[in-house]
Formats: sequence, structure tokens, C-alpha cells
Amino acid sequence: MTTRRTKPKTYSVANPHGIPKDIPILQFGDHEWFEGDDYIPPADAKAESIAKKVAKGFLIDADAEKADG
Amino acid sequence: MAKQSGLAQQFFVHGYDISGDVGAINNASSPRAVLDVTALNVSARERLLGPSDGMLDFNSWFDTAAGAMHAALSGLPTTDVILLWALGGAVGDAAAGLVAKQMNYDGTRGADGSLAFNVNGLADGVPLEWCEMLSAGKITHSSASSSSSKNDGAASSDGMAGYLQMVDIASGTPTVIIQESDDNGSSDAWATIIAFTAIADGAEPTAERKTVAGAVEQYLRITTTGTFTDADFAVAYRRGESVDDEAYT
Repeated sequence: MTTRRTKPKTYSVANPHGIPKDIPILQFGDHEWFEGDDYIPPADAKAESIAKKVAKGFLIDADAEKADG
Repeated sequence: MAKQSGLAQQFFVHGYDISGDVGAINNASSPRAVLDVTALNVSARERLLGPSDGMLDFNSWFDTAAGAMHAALSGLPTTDVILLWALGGAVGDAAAGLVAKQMNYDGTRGADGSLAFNVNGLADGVPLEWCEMLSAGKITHSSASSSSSKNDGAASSDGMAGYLQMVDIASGTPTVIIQESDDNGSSDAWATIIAFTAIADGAEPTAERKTVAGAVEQYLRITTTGTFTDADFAVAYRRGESVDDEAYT
């Protein structure tokens, strides 16, 4: 039996509060993401948390953007 | 929380830590104008609230040391000064923040030989804000790092105001930011919601108030970025409420 691996969803980091370019928008452990970076949520990230970050403008659903053309 | 005394408090004037000089807070108030709009068809007064206001009035013992009260207060700037009265030195302690015009610097030499000055700060565009300390009073970040987070028990939806008092920097240029997370960074990455202006060594003492609109998550923390050594600062914040006169933007 083979297990199909799901490609992790990728988001683009946005800057809803006008934070200066040299300041990280997101931090998780030692990792920092700046405006325009790709962001792959941690494996145990809650869908609700990600949805809130999208709604608040911190993340842009890059896959959805591509689908929209 | 139990009843508290007024001991071991801290007081900042636009980045100057004059906690060791201020002897008394005479008045921290948020007076409201009231408009009497009573109509002739009612039998009791009707009132509307007018503009909000704020005041911090305090006495300080005369001290000419570097960074002490005379340096902080004698200049009587025409620009705004940002005042912060921390009612304790722990994270979560109450604090009163005020963006103010400094009205006076009035000295009194008592017959007992004491030498004290009175200062009154009146609000400029923002009422007195009752905040909570996000730092444990004045703290030091020796280099870029994060302080322990504060759990407010629930998220809020009406924005936030943040106060920074930058007292001293040994070298470099720190930037102080406030970050939020809904699970203390366990799986929800910390997101930067307020970034105070970067301050280069030599530009302190200084202070800043910044606001952000919308939802604010349950956990907050202070992070510093940039290359620097030994930044001494204090941070307070206030979560907006739906009953505020004006929503934070």
C-alpha cells in the first residue's frame, strides 16, 4: 500500500500594518518571514489560525491567487 | 488581584526614567465635558458626553544628574511629551499613558529646605489611557530577543495602542515590536502588529505611541530586532473596547 503525500499549501507573507521592510512579519521559533516571502505553516498549525492570518491580511493564499489567474 | 499600595512604582517622561525623582502623582484624570441637552418635554436632565480629555500632574524632587528630572522637564518643549506612569514593576501591572503638552515646571522651596517641582501634562488629541505593562517595568534587552509573552485570556476585536519609552541604548539601533499569537507561538506563528520607530544610540531618551486597528490575538509579546547592545525600555499597551469614543486605526 502506498501513501500519497499531499503537497503542503503555500502562502505569501503580506504586510497589513505597514511594518518596515527589515522587520519580520511572522516569527516561529528561529524562523522569520518578511513581506513577500513564501510561508508554509507548521505541520501542526490549526486551520483556524491560518484562516485568521489570511483574514487579517498577514497571509495571502498563493495557490488561490494562482487559480484566479 | 488584591488591594495594592502605591509603593515601588515607575514614571517615564518621553524616555526619561524619573522614577527616582518623582515623589507624588497628584492627579491622573480623564475628565469629560458634558453637554446639557435637556428638552422641554422631559422632567429630568438629559446629557451627552463632550470631548474626552486627560491630565497627569506630578511633583518631583530637584535632581540635576544626567537623565534625571531637571534634564527631562526643564526644557518645556512645545512638542508633545509622552508620559507613562507604571503602577508597579511587573508585566500586567496597570499603567497610565498620556500624550501631553507640558504646561509648567514650577519650583517650590519649602521652609523645611526641600526643593520640589510641579509639572502638569494635559492631553493632546488622545485621552488618558489606562494600559497594562507588557514589560516588567523598565527592562533591558542586551541584544535582539523576545520577552516572555503575556496571556490576556482572550482575543479582542477593537485594536490596540502601544507605548514605548526608550531610556538608554549602549550601542546600535534597536527596533521594538509587539507581536501577537493565538496559542503563544505553539503552532500559530507570532505576527508583528506594531513596530515602533528604530532608535539609534544617541537618539534616546525618546518615546512613541502607536496604534493598530482590528482584532488582536490572546497572547502578546515584545520582540527587539536590529543590531544593538543593552537597550533599556518600557512598553505598555491598551486593548481597544467597543465603547471607545474613537476606534484605534
